[in-house]
Amino acid sequence: MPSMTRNAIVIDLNRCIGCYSCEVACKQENNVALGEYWSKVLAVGPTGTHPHVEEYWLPTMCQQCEDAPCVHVCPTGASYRDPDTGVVLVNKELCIGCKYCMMACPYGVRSWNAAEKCVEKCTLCGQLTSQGELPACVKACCGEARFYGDLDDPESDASKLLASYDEADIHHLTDVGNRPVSAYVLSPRFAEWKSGD
Amino acid sequence: MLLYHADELGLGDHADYVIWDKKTNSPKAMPYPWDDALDPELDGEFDVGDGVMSRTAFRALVENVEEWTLDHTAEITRCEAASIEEAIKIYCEGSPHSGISIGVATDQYEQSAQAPEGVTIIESLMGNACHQGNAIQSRKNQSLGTYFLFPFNLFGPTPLTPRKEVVERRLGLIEHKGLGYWMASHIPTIMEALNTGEPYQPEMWIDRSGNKLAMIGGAETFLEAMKKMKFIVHMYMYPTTTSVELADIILPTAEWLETAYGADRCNVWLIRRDVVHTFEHVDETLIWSWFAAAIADRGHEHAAMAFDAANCGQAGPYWRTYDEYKEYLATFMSNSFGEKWTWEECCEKLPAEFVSMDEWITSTYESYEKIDETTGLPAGFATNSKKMEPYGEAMTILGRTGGPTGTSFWDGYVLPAASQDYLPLPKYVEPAESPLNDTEFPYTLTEGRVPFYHHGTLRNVPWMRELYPVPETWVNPTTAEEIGVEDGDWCFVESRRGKIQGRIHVTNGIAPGVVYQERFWNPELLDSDDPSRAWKVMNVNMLTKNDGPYNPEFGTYTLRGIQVKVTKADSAPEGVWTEPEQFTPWLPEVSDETGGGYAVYDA
Repeated sequence: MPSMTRNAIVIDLNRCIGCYSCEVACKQENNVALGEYWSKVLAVGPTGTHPHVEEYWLPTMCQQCEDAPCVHVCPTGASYRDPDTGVVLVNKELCIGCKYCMMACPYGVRSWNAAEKCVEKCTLCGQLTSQGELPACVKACCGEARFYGDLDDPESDASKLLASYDEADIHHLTDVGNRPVSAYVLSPRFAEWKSGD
Repeated sequence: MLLYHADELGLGDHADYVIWDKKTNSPKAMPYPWDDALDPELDGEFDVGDGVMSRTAFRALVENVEEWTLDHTAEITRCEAASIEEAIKIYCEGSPHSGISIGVATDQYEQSAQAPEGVTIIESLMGNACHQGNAIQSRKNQSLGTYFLFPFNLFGPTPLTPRKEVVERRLGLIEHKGLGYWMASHIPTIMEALNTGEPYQPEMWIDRSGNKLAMIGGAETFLEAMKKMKFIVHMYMYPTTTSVELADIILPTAEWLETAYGADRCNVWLIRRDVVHTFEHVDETLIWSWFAAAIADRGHEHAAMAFDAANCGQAGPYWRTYDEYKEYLATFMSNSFGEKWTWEECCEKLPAEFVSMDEWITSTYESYEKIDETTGLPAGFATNSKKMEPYGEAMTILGRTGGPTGTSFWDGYVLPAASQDYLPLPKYVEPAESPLNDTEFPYTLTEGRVPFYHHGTLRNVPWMRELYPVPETWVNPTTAEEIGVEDGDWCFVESRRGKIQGRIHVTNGIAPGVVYQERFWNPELLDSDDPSRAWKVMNVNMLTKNDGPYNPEFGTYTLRGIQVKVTKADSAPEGVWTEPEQFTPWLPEVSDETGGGYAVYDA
């Protein structure tokens, strides 16, 4: 039964300048240790042969899959989807550190917390959003490229951003049946979306 | 125009230039702003009397650049001729709403003045100034490039204006008059003075930047010269290699973003409220005031005068307390609103618009056409002729006197001429180290910025180092194959002046034959038996060139555009940290509340 709330981050890659602020803001807000990442910016390119090259940056984080493999494989139920918010979360008290979820995730966005010996990932900054604030990465983005909200609510920032673009400019990371909710915008005048990364 | 002022040919005033009038087939003065009765010839060479031949400025320009066909330009720039042509067409078809922006790269080599001169000529020819979309605009800033702590002589003479002998003593100024705009000295001339004692021996240096040994070209020669100073003070937030290698005293200062200040951006005054200080670092502005107060107390006349507003003109007197300083900032900023606010009031009211965005944007458009009430004529531009001056005679005047109008910037002195005239038109010269003929060092090194670091800072921040732990040596796949390296390999990069290491990043983001590496230093190497390795092992400024030829106008040495060779290395330099966990010792630790800078500001 699909959730009636699909909270996610949507990123406008036409505006992303590859400053890495989102990656660092996440670490600061969530106390993520050195060498561990909940949010990771990838440089896609330069592709082409000099001087005819193009490049874009791809900030990655949990894609809040509707049919999340990490939830399926978890032997203890530590990895679950919150029925109210639609956010995929980890209950650290139940996590036994088997790391099946890390293997199952098609995007490699789950992180091993060596100090606490459990898995972690983007929580969409529930500690902030529950108080009406935006996730840290959204606040930090100096390109105003990140948008948060419920994609089932047409009035959310995330929905409005997607609605302002043509369908052809909207992309998702490779879907292997998991139905990633997070979306990316990239228009051809900036670069061609490279799927399968 | 012909290359004369009207009075030199007995045709009119000095301020009027001379054109060749097609109607009368004779030279004529062109009064400001224009005379429709005249029909100027743009391109030609004419007899202005007694068989004296003169080219028009346009003809002089054409002859200056005639070797630069599209194909020759493509060959030297290694850009594709078709792409250059396409860019020219886009620019021209968009004019007069086009613009050209040049960046730091051209500032950092021998032709630092010539690049903007060339751009100005093109913009002038296409009318790209003070229209929507242009790079050249004439908007009034509230501050001088965000600086609003002013030297006393900035707004006209005051009792504290430096005497002519003092200005002439500024090392390298006479030869490189462009430095006078910034009241700066010439680094290599300072080094020469340190090494030879001529024209005099500099003795004391107070440095408030982070790490000169990572930032100055030819860092090794810079260190040796600086050691000849008698007394060196380093004012900074934490010890760097400059502190360790050179400083006699270190004064802890606050980071610039932590201090009270303001900035005008577009039509808005922004305020920077000082943050909670977690150790006893001080806003450097106060340290300068305290120096002045200390020497004033010991009888220095000018230092004492600097605390009396009557002597200071619009710059205002020095401060003794942080509150006084903040009130100065508040007065300056609130003046833009026609008011006088306290610092507390500024904290409440700012950021705020001092004019509407629309007014700010459009204030420059066609502003040169606006009638000046005192003359009844168009205001024009801030040049000698009030017109755009693609033929930069003002540069020649600068070199001969100290300023484009015939006297030095700010102080109005007529300074001794530089040893050679500054030319009014730019001409490309091949750099001293050139890929055209250098077989020993075949690749051209350039530098730049990455988002993680700012100048010499942040190499000790764990979250930055884990993202970009060591400087990458960028090479094109073709070049990588020539060298015999792959992505991730360690390498040596060597110039005629030094040898460093980097880590290869193979990318199509750089041209074949060009190498990019960011300036860098390694704080983790400070705590060792040989702390000088911290600024040597991976610092491109071991390779760069601080000797001549210099840019005549500004004295620029060559940071970008030197020749290097690259060879594979087996490993990283010993002791360099590369893995995220290694930066753990630099994670912040809780400390006691000591009152921060406020513990000492009012002491």
